[in-house]
Amino acid sequence: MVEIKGVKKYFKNIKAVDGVDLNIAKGEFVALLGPNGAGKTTLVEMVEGIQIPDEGQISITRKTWKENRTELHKMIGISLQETRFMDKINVRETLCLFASFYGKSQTRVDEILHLINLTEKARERVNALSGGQRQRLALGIALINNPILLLLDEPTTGLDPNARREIWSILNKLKQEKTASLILTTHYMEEAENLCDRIVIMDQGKILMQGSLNELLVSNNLKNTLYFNFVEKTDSQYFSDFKMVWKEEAISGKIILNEMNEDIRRFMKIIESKNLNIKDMEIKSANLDDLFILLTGRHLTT
Amino acid sequence: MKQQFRQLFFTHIKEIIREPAVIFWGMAFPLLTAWGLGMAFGEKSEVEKNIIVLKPLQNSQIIQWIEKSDKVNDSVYVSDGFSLTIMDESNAIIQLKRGEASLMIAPGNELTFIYDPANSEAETAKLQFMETLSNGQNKYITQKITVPGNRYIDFLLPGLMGMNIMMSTMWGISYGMIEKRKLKLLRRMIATPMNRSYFLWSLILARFLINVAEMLLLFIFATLLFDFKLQGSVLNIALVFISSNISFAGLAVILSSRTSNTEVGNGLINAIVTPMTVVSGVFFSYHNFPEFAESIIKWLPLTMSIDALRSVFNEGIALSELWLPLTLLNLSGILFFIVGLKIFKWY
Repeated sequence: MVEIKGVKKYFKNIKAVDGVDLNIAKGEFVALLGPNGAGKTTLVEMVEGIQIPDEGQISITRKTWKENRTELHKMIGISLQETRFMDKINVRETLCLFASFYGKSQTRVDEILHLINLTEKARERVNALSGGQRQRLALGIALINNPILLLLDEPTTGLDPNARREIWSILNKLKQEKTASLILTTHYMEEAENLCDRIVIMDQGKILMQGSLNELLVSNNLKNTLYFNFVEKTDSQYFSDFKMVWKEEAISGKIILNEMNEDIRRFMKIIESKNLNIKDMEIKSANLDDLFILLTGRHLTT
Repeated sequence: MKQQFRQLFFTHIKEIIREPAVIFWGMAFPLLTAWGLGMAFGEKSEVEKNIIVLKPLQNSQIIQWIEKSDKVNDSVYVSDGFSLTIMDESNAIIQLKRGEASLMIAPGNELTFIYDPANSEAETAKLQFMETLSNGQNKYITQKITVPGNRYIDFLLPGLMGMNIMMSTMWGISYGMIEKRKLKLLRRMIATPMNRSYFLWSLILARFLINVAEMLLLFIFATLLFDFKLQGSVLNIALVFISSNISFAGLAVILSSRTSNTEVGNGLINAIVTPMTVVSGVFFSYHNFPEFAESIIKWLPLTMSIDALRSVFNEGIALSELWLPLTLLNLSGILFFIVGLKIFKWY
């Protein structure tokens, strides 16, 4: 469906995307996960045809942007980071406008209104919508042409949990239909875990790892994370051998447990030898953030 | 018309008319300006119509009229809604220039009216005054004069119309486009199979139709309130109007072709619009500027537009005399449009 081969994109001296290979199958939902500046948006923009790669090739259903621009535009649906629509134009009118670009009828507009649960808000002007409703409208616009490839750039950033879940439920419905592939960028791990078959972790323009959540965690032998909290400030140097991040420097943080027993023993030994006072500690199942810390020593979300 | 174009066009129209401030600045404001300045500089709407009787007072019909009228002072007499002022010619000319009177009666035995036949108020005043003369005679002589400068309102209205076309087109198109670029809406729109030129053309056409409505409203208002008249042909005024729109639309497209910063856009538009508003003779004649400045000013789009509007409205000028400004307005508009489109940044 989507083939990305050796794609590079530089902005002056910044390597935004630095040699990415990625194939996406029909009906597959893929999440691009990474911190700000990882190159997710630039990669998606190249797939959208808005940016041209400096090197490498991108094709969608074996068609490239150079020769098949109009055809590809008809096949994809996109939702950009924070697009705003015209304030004075109501929900239905906005959908009708975009429907006209694809030659779609009013019936399709009604279907979309129903799908994004905005039928009752159809006559409301866009400026009267909440953040979640606006994002649903943006999603509706992305879906209006029955796209076979959907590109969503941070569709739920800045939304409250309820609004986020509503977007997820629309996308999950779509996933069951298996008609469209999805590339989603996000820095919410739950979003990637919830929606996508495959998670692609990016950092500094490169793909660090990819696979399902389980595959990623298992292949790195990552099961658990130790969360701890000291009573008073200690010396962070004591723990420099661990894969870990501090939440509050030298007081609280978490340690990625690669070898659970061995790591805990070492941790306890330091506490004993340095006579440190633990306030509380807890072991939890590892998540994508822990994996990212294991790989880069940094948090996924900042 | 394709569905796409129709949708884009009506979207632009709705965006315009759903903004109350736009309605005020685009429609009510020019009317208020016309009304305010027209009242301030135009002929006073006195109850009594002022007629000047030139010295020496010799005509028997006028002497009879004065005898039965109320005397205000030695030279002013009021009766039947008219006020006759006896004065010498030099003072009378000043009064005419100031628009304080439009009709004069010449010395001599035969009743002779002196006025500008293009001035319908003077014509009406003359006919009404004839009816107040007691002897029922209606023989009189008409002596034509051309009052220098005509009425101020006749000068002002085409100026306001030109300014309005410029303001509405420049702000409407430029600002609408910059704002949509800033909101990433342009970028979102071109990620669809939307025809890019439809987007610009529908925006320009929507603005053009709003301008037609504004101009008609201003014209009807001026006709009713100031008896403003179109001396030239409707075709000529339409051509001038369309050419002005093309010129300013091109200018708007080139100004808004790159920036996504509304403040920068604001500055750019102001930098073009404000100097033209000041120098292009909207309110006062640009002939007062030094000669070298005048030679530049007269080629500015707003000056060409207003000069052409004035000559069609007030002088009824023929199309053959308009070809130069019309060609320049259209050419500059098309040129700006093409260049603007070439360097246009959708995102």
